[in-house]
Amino acid sequence: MAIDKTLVTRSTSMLLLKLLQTEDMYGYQMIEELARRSDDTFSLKAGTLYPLLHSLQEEGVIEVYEKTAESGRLRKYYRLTKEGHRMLEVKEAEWYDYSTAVNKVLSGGVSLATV
Amino acid sequence: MQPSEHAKDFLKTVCAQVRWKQAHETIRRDLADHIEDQTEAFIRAGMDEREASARAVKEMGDPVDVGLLLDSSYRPKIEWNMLAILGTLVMAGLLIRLIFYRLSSAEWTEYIVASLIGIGCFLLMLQVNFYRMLKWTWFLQIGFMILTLTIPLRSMFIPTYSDFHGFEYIWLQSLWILYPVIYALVIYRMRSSGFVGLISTGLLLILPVFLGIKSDAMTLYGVIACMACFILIMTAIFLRCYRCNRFLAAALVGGVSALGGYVLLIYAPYRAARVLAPLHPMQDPLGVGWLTLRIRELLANSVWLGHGAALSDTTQLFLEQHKTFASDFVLTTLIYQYGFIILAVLTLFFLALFAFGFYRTKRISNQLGKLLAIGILTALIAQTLLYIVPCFGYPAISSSALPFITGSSIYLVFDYLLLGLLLSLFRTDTLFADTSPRRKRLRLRFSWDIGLEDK
Repeated sequence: MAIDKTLVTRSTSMLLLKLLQTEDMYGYQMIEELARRSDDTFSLKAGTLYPLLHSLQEEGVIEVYEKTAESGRLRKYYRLTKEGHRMLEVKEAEWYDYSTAVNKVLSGGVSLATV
Repeated sequence: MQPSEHAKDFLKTVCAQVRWKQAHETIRRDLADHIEDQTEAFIRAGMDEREASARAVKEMGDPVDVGLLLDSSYRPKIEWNMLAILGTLVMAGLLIRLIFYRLSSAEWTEYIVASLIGIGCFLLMLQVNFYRMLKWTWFLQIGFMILTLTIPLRSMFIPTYSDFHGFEYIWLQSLWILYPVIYALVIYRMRSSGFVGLISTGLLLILPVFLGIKSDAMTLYGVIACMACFILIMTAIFLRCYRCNRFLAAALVGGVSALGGYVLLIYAPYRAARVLAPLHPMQDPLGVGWLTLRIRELLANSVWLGHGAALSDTTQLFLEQHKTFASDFVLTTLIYQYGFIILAVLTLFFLALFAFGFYRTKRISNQLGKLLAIGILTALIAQTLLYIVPCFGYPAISSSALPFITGSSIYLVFDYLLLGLLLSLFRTDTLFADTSPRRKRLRLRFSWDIGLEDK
């Protein structure tokens, strides 16, 4: 399914934060997990992911550390900071309001919850 | 797995688009790791290594586009607010010299040369990624110990050496002011080694301090460094760097420091007398209390704006003698002659500088950067306090310099250097990632240590 790119870009940072909510992940793992959870709807490119991760790191919502993986490789893992958890809550609430409003318009002004 | 030729070409083209050269290593590593992960996934899916590698690079997209996206994200951050405060302090130092004092040509030459060297050091520091200093930790520590121990050891064996306050003697002693930076690296290296690491870190500080005191070669630079190192160890404990019970560790460090201070006072009673004298200056008004009484009279007769009220003959004479920029009490005499407004303005600027510094330090996401920044900030704060406190009639310790404003050329150069280093840390903090600490084997040998860890 093709999705409007602007919509995807706006929500990508929220999706990345959501991925990190439960588990610290490395870059490739995040792309794989995002594709898996979205049934391949979101296939993020590395060229998009790393600048976005760097921006989130500068904002202080995620932080990076290195850890030796089971394979013996030293990997860079990303984790959510306290500020990141707060930002995710805000973004989720915003997204919920937005999607509810869109759904309401699409359903002709009737809230889906009451249908 | 070594990157293939395809991958190397890809990474080279990507980095060519990114203007911030210090970020290249981080970007190259991120993308190379990603290509390696993708290659392994393709191999698991049944491709041969060559095909998997080529396909993984292709999956990364156009290297120019990727590079341009990264270029827009990776930009060095400039702390304009701190730079503006620095500029204001430097201007204040210049104006105070120009308006309130008549410096000799030799003093002007020294000030200008020191400022140029300092600004050069500052700009040089900004271009360096100091997180790379980590691999030089032990080299720096040993080098520092060799250089600084030269003084106490030579003083012990050559009785007249400490009388020679020449270039070498003064510069070797002043190196102490850089020690908090090296000490932060040492603490980071020793982290996650429990109480053994904590005690080892402490011993690395105690040895040169002991020798310095024993040989009377410990100067104010050393005192500033010790204060900064104490704060550093405490910070490291509360950042859980050592991975041991924080409250027990803090009690240990606090206890040893307090005991050390007590022994110092008992060992040399004149130190205790010097510390206590300013509290009761009237007990010895012509001896140790004399200076405190003069300063107190100057401040008591000062006003908020303008020249202070009339002084006694003795204090007036003291004022005339200290109306030179070489005096340790420039701030006191300025307050008396022009009002407390000078103190208020300078205090405001210093508070703003340190507040921005700590705010930015809090946002550094790695422990190494935090420790280095706290080491530098506490060294600058200790220096500032040790200047201001004697100016308020408590001259128990010899006076230091108000950063960028008063003091010798050595202080000026080192202050520029330290601030340059601090801003460099802020610029490059996102390029460094802590390695997740693993408990070191050394610590497991101590069974008493297990069970004291923070949960």
